[in-house]
Amino acid sequence: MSIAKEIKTTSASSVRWKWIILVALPVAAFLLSFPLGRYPVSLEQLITVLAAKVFPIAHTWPSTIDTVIFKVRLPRIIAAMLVGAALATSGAAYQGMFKNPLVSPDILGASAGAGFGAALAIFFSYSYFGIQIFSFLFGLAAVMLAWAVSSRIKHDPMLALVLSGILIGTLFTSGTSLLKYMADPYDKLPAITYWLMGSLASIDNKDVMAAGIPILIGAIPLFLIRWRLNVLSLGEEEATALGLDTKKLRLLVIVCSTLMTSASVSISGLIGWVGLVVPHLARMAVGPNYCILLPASILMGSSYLLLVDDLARLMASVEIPLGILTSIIGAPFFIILLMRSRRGWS
Amino acid sequence: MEMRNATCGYDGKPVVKKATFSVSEGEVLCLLGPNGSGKTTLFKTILGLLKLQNGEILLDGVDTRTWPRRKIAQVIGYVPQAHAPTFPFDVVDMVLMGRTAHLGTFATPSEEDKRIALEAIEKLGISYLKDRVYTEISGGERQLVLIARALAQQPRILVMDEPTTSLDFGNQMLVLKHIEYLSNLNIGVVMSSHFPNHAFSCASKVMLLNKGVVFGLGSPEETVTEENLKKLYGVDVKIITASIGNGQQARVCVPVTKRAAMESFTDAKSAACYG
Repeated sequence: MSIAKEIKTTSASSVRWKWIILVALPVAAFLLSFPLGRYPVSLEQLITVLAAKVFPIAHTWPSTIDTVIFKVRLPRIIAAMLVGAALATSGAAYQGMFKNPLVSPDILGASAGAGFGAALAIFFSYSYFGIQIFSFLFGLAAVMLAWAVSSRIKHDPMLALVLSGILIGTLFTSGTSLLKYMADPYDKLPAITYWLMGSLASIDNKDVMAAGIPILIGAIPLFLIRWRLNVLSLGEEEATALGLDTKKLRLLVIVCSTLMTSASVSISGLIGWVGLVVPHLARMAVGPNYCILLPASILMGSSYLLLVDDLARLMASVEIPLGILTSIIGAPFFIILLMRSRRGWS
Repeated sequence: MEMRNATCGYDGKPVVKKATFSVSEGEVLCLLGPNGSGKTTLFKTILGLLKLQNGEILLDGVDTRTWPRRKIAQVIGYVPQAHAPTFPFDVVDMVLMGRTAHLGTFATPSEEDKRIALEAIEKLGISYLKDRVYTEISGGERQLVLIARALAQQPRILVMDEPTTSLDFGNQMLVLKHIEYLSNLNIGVVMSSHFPNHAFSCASKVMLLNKGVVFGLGSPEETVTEENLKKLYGVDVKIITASIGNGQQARVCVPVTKRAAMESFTDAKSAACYG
C-alpha cells in the first residue's frame, strides 16, 4: 500500500514539475530572445525599458533601443510564438481527427494554397500586404475545395478528406511551379522562392495584428472542444455511438485549423515540421488526453518556433530562412524521439 | 426498444429485411447467425449509424429516427469489439468518454462525471486497471473497460457486437457473467455471438438471422434447437442437458462429428462447468 502511495505522490509531484517547466519555457524564451541580435540590448536595459511602459522612469537610454525592442524584436518574437502555437495546435487537432499521428496541419492543402496565393501576388507585383491577403485567402480556398471534393466521394469520409487534400495540394503546388517558371528570373523568381522558404524577418506590428486575430478566432473554439477531440480520435463509428455529432465537430476542427494555418503561413511563409513534431513532443510530455495535450502543444509550439527563429537570426551573418531551419532541426530531432520512445505514439 | 418491419442496409441495398423484435429493460437478446447474415448492419441501424431504410425503431413507443445523436446515445450504449485506438489513453480517460452524451459541447467532464466513471470501473471489478494505459492491457481487459465505458454512459439499452469474439475461454465466461450483471441492473442487452452455448448461458431471448431474414425468435430453449442450428450453420449438432452441480442443469450444444466426438464432449462438459 505504502509503495503504491509513494508512486502516486512522486508521479503527482513530477506532473507538477512538468507543468512548471512547460509554463516557464515560453516565458524564458520570450525574455531571452530580446537581448539576442546584432544590436546589443542587455537584460537590464530590457527590464528598464519594459518597466518604463508602466512606471514613470526617466528616459535615459538612446531611443534606438526603444525602436529595436518595440518595433523590431517584439513583433518578431510575438509572431514566432503565435505561428508556433497556431501550427502546433492545429497539428495536434488534426492528428486526433485523422486518427493518425503522422498528419500535419497542411494535410488538407492549406500551405500549398497559401504558397500559390503568395506566388500569384508576387507575380502580379502586389504589395507586401497584398501577398498576405492572397496567401491567406488561397489557403482557405484550397481547404474548402478539398472539403467540397471529399464530400462527393462515397467512401470512408476521413480517407476521402486526406485524398482530396493531397490532390488539391498537388494542384496548387504545380500552379506555384508554373508561376515560378513564368516569373522574371532576376526579380520575381527569387522573391517567390524566398517567400516559400519561410521567414519572419520583415514582420511588423501590423502583421502581428492581422494574423493574430484569425489565429485567436481559430484557437478559442478548438480549445473549448478539446475534450471532445479525445472522443473524435476513437473513430467515426465509436464517436457517433458515444453521442458525438462527428460531422459538425469535424467541420469545426477543419475551419478552425485552416484559419490558424492560413493566417500563420500568410505572415511567415511555409514553415514545415512544427505542426508534426511539437504535438508528438507534447504527447510524450503529458500524454494523449487533449484536455492537457492542447495547452501543452500551445506552450511548446510557441517556445520551439521562437527558439528556432532566434537561431535563424543569429547562426550566420545573414539570416537563414526559418522554414529551412525547422526542417533541418525537426527531422533529426523527430528521428531521435521515435527511437527513444517506448510507448509507440505516446 | 422495439423494431418493426425494419429494413436495414446501405443506399438501396437492403441487408436485413423486415425484422420485427423488441427488447425490454433487463432482457438479454442474443443474435445468432452466420457471417454476413446482417447482425452488424442491424446493430448499426439500432445505434443510428445507418439510416433505417424502411419500418420503425421505437423507444417507449416513440420513433427515434429524428432524434439528435446525443439523445440516442443517452438511451442506447454501444460496446464495440475490443480494439486498439491510435492514441494510448489511460483507462480512466477511456471510460470517461462514456460521458460524452451527457456533456455540453464545450464542457469537460466534471467531478461528478469522474465519480460515475470510477464507479463503473469498480462495478466491473477492474479498479486495478484504472491508471494503466488502455493500449497496453490484454484483449479481455479491454473488453471489460469498454463495458465500463458503456456503463458510464448510463444507457437503458446496450448493444454489444460479438463481445466474446477473440477472447480466451476464461475471459469469455467473465464477459458473459458481466452481461448477466448488466441485465440485473435493468439494462436491456442486444448482443451477437458465434457460440450457441453463449445464448444458453446468458440470453433471455434468442433471434436467429440468416441472409438478412429473421427465422426464429423466442426463448433459448425453443429457438436454439438441433434443427435450427443445422439450417443456420449447416452443422449437425446435439443439444444435451448437463448437470452442473447443486441440482442445476445447463443446456449445451455439441457438434456431431465422428472424429471430434470425444473432444467436443469434454469441451461441452467444461463449458457446462462455467456456464
